[in-house]
Amino acid sequence: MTKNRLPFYGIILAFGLAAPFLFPAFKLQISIMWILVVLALTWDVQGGQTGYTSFGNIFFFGIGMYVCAGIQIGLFFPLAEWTASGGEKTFIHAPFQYFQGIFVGLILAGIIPALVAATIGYGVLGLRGQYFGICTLGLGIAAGEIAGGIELIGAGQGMTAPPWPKGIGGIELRSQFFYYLCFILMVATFLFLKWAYKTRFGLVLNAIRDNEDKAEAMGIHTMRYKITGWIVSAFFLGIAGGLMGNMIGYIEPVEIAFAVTTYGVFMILMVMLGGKGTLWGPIIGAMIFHIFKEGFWTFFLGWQYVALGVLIVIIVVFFPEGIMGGLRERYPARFGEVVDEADIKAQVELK
Amino acid sequence: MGKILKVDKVFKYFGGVKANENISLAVEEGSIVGLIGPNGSGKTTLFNSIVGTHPIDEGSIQFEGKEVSELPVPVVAKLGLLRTFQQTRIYGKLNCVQNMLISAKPEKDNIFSMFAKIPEELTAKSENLLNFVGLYQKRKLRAGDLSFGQQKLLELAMALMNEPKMLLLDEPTAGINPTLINGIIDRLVTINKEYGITLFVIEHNMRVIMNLAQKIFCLAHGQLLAEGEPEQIKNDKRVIDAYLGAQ
Amino acid sequence: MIAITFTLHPYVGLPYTVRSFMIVIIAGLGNLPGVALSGMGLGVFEEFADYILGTEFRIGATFLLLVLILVYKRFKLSRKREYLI
Repeated sequence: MTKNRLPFYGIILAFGLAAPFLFPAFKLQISIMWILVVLALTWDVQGGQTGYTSFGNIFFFGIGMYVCAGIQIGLFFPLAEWTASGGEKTFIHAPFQYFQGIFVGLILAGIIPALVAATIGYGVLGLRGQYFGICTLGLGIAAGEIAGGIELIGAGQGMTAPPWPKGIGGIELRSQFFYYLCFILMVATFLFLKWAYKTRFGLVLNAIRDNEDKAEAMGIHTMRYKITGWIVSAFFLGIAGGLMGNMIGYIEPVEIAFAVTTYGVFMILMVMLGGKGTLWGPIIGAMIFHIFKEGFWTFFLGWQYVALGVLIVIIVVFFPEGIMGGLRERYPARFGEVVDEADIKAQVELK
Repeated sequence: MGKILKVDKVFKYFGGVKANENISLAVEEGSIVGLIGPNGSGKTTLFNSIVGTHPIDEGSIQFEGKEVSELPVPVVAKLGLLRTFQQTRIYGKLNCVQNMLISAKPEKDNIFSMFAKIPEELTAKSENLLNFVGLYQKRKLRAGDLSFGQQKLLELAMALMNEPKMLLLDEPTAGINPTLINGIIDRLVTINKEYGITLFVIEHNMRVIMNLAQKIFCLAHGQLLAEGEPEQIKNDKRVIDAYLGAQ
Repeated sequence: MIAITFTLHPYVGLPYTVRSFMIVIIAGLGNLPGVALSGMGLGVFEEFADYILGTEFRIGATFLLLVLILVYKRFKLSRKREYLI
């Protein structure tokens, strides 16, 4: 399967690298699509591979967003004054400061959510099934509401991310810069997970999904693996959040940062559409979902939410296994699962 | 040879129900011991208590001299005390070989072994063990697609893959085609003699357990009714009454 | 009844759903008197949160309480090696 995949990867890589020049008007859209792919891939680590449906993975996305913007501003200017009123007009970043801020900001946007996941993991991941879902939902919503009350980061009004410094290119360069950062993040997430799923880690997560009690009875410290999975997801989600915050430019706690009702739920739908528990499922699901969503916003303006709702219902009713799941049922051979009829019918013999 | 497992005055209550009342028994290392009793006598509960699935209310359980009643399940399993389940538990969406691979003990258990690639030798070992239980031809099938009896065999193979010191088997021949039962008995004897694994077996099939075990404990209504060699137990009036109901 | 007092929007039901879930979790499924008590307790908690922490933290405190209660239950049950079903 991997040998004839190489040209396929090459095409995606080429598309990804060339897209800003092929579709200059859609740079932001394709950047967001890569971010959605990261959201889907990281959700799948809990939802599809471990069987823990998380409604609050967006929690780490939001933390990353605030951390990144906070560092970008806080390294050079007093944060409280920035958020108080139109800070971006009073405090101007010099180009060197801007890029230093982004660099440090993105790194911490990955590390801090990862540390948060490590801290709360032991408590939250001890819950199972729907209780885990509700607890994570509560986390996401609580974080959004609480962030909406903290004056330092802008309270309900939100805060603006530092604008692109004047004097280095214009909007073009800015979009291209963030586009490539999003693309690199997506590729890094994909490659890391592709490697991780082939190791013991991937197999243990699947075992936890299939029968957690059995895994524990066989001597596997399931909590360690679950927490590690959450740390991995949190890391990539945090960086994605940092990038998204910069691209949108305006960080509002409940709608943009801790967007439980939009991106938080979209994560789940994208993975369901593409196929839970597979590596490519979330990617395909995210891309198709994004294309549909953008199509609805363009062509069905006024009814776009209705169309999105119909799409969601269709996904849940007709694609419970997702696209990759359905393909795997129809063509198991192409997935490396060779099932011989004789094997199924064979009787067990003990001589 | 010492006692590998010591159960001492164990009590387990579920609300008002006395599932295990004052159970004391010991298993000799390297032996095959049977646990019989009518349904509802507390056999599986006792297994659960030994392995740590639930805490016990009173008493102590020692494995190789170490107190295990306070330890969580994965720690007990890593000490070498494994159990199979009455209602089979296997990893349904993975195929049989993967089920085996994940059951193997990793050499070290740290962050690096977490992300280590699964060694090639394990695949050969799992295929050998699958062959041992007769599932070689079905090794590529999804474990969830196997029949109940085949899943029981897979569970046995998975337990062997983990190289335990002692194995608690919960009704290993239930649901197995009767023509295969002799094969199972042979294999259990082989496991015990060649791999040196102590077996503690819950069984309802009297023929199997009388042929297999060197010592048998009988439970009834949560209490230890009788213990002794198969011949003694077979003729013990209390055991016969418990199974058939006192006349 | 909510529709009469407040403005309607699609997400108006969410906080109420979460609050009812929280109350049932604290009381335990099927425990009717417990549910009534917890409901009143939660109402008191929310008013105090509103007063002490400020109105902007009211909903946040409620959802945070949900998380804390679930985690507390998880640790209490894990002593008995059971799980919330």
